[in-house]
Amino acid sequence: MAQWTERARLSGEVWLRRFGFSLGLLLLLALYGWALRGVEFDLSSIFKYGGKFFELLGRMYPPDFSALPQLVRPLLQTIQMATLGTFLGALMALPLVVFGSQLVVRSALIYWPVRAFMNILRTIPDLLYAVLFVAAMGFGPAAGVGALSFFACAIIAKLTSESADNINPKPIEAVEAVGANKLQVIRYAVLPQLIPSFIDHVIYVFELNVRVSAVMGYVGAGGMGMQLTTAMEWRNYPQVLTIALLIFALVIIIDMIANRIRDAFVQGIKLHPVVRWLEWGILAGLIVWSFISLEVDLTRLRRGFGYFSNLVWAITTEPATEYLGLAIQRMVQSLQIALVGTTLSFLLSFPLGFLASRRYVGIPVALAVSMKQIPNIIRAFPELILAIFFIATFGPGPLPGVLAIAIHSIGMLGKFNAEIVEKIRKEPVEALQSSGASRLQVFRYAVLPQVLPEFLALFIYRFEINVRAASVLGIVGAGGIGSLINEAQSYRAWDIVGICLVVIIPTVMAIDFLSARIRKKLIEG
Amino acid sequence: MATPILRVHNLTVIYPGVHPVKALDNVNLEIYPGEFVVVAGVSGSGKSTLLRAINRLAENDHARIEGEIYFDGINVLKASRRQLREIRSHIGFIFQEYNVVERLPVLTNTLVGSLAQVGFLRSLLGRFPKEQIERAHRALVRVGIPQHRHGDRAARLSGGQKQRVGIARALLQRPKLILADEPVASLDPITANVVMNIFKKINEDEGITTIVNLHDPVLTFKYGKRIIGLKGGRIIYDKPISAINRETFEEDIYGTVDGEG
Ligand SMILES: Nc1ncnc2c1ncn2[C@@H]1O[C@H](COP(=O)(O)OP(=O)(O)OP(=O)(O)O)[C@@H](O)[C@H]1O
Ligand SMILES: [Mg+2]
Repeated sequence: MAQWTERARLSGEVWLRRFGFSLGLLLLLALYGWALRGVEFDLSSIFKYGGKFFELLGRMYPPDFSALPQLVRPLLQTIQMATLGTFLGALMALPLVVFGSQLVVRSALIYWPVRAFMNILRTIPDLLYAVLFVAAMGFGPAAGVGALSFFACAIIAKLTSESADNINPKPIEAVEAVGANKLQVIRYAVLPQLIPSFIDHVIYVFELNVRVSAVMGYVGAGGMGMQLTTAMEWRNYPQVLTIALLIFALVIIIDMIANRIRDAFVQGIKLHPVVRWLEWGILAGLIVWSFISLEVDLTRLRRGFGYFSNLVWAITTEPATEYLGLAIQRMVQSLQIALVGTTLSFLLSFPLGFLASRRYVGIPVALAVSMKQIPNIIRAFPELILAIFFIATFGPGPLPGVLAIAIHSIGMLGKFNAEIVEKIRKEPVEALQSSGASRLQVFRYAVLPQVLPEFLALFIYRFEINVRAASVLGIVGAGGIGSLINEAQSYRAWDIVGICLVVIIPTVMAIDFLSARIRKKLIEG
Repeated sequence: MATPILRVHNLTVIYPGVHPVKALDNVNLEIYPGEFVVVAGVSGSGKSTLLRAINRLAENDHARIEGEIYFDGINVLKASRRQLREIRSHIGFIFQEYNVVERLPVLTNTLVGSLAQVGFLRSLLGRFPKEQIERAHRALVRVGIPQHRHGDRAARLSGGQKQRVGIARALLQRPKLILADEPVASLDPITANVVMNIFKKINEDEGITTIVNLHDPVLTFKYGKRIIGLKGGRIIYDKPISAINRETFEEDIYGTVDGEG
């Protein structure tokens, strides 16, 4: 009798779990159905017009290398903008990090506002900075430098303040105990501990800035991107390809150099003083050269300042509340674009991850090695360029945004998927193999359970990044809230731009927060 | 005797929180110039809190400090931030964990002790006066760090060597009072004695008043000239070493070895 009820209870539980599982699945399907409709996803049109994409590529070939001499100056300008933007961003970030640290300023009245400001800076996507600064300072590289320095500042400050939370507080007490003042404490106990990670992050952000700098001209902020706009407008496709290839080469070369510097730095290679001074000299020269040739002048700065105070004024005193509904609607579309794009990208990169790691699957070495390079190559193609290509194929709308995000994200997802697969423990795999399981069974019961939580965490992280991308791709015509910004900007409707910011900032913040929570749960189990 | 260099009157220290801790309870003390005092007590008896209250480092842990503390006639607890920095510059503090900045060279770690004497701008630029640099070299050699190690990063030193840097840093302050909080608790017995001897020698040669926290009874009796016993945040002993019966002292302070006390 007792046994019987026990069995009934058990089967009841099983049914309940099955019910919960089906309900979850149903909800998930509904979510995707909703998102797919929202982004106007339609396989038939992809197949129908997809051919046009290759036709477009065909018209680009062969690239027009005769245009190269004209491109030298924009190329240099791109590097100059990235250099100066990173430098100014780093300068701005350092005080934010120091005064946002609980260990340094013990008063919450100071570090809370500083941290809040840092978080707000961090939510604004790269291209949105570009649009705002072009509006503020007019067309040209000065706007690019402004945008890049804020973008750089946000990321450097965020990453470095994470390191600042982990510095050793004890030396701080020692310096306080000798009667030193706050700045001396910062100089002798805080900065020495902070500088290594700070420099590491600055180098990383320089890489990012080169990528952004190469394309942000598309919205008028100087550099190669401006050339891209013109070539696109004139339908000079061979030149478009030349520019795209040039950007691609630039990104790869800069990444290579940055990696070398970072390695040398991490290993703490002792340099001859002369070499060291030479390096500092080159760096200083680069910055000065960028500064001079970009003609950053004071009147522009003043104009920019006026614009931003107007913007903040418009947001706080007379917000365009009548556009709030529309802005939210477009923001939702951006989220849908990010969701569908990330999911597609994940499906595409999933096999890539397994193929690139030949440990458990057993494919030829040469194939695995070449598979490994695919993500690196894809990563070097900025989303914006992909979006422009897809818009030329399918016309403006959310679909090009989805595809651009889907393709570009393969780079990172494929790379990290492969790393996750390489890292799995081999004991369970061998246990199954030794019990005579088939290859598919080994995969299902020994490999998949190990990698799934990390894959999910990675997926969510990439979604977080793509929400930012999806909020701005609309600026070039790829749907979402960016399209509203684009329209508002062309009518100089600051209040509408303002309301878009009011919607984007909290949304991105909330997504960041949730993503961090969920990822922590997933990884810690 | 002369006027005390340090006078602690009705000192009570409370760490607030859900369960506030009264770490020191109505402590009274007078320390005279040139004394070498050991504060003894088991873990948690309030030794660190006492030293950290004297230069108000305990405020970093949000401790509430009540009562009066006079250093050289000045009320420490009433001092402004600026006055407090001035007071701190005359008190050398030695930490159990050495608290050196690992990434900075040994010499710079030592020069930190002179920050209050160096011009503000110079100190921010890291351009210390030649005189201070020479003093730093001498202080380091004196505590047993040979010249050729002065340029090394502090991270490359052993524990005992880091503590010597900590002492050299305090010496650069030209302190009137040295407060050492368990300076040898993380060191092996031989190194511990070497470091304790440095304190002893500084006290004897220059007459710098020294208060050292120790939890080890052997070291306490070997180096202390006056011993203050702390238990549960109260002073239960305060006598010159000659007036102390070692047996009963150990039982009162540490409990009996077989745990029956
Ligand atoms: N930051 C703090 N916050 C709350 N309570 C504290 C703090 N620091 C010390 N206390 C409490 O105050 C009491 C005295 O601590 P104190 O560190 O002064 O003891 P101690 O004699 O130095 O011990 P030890 O030999 O372990 O260093 C202890 O009960 C301790 O738990
Ligand atoms: Mg202690």
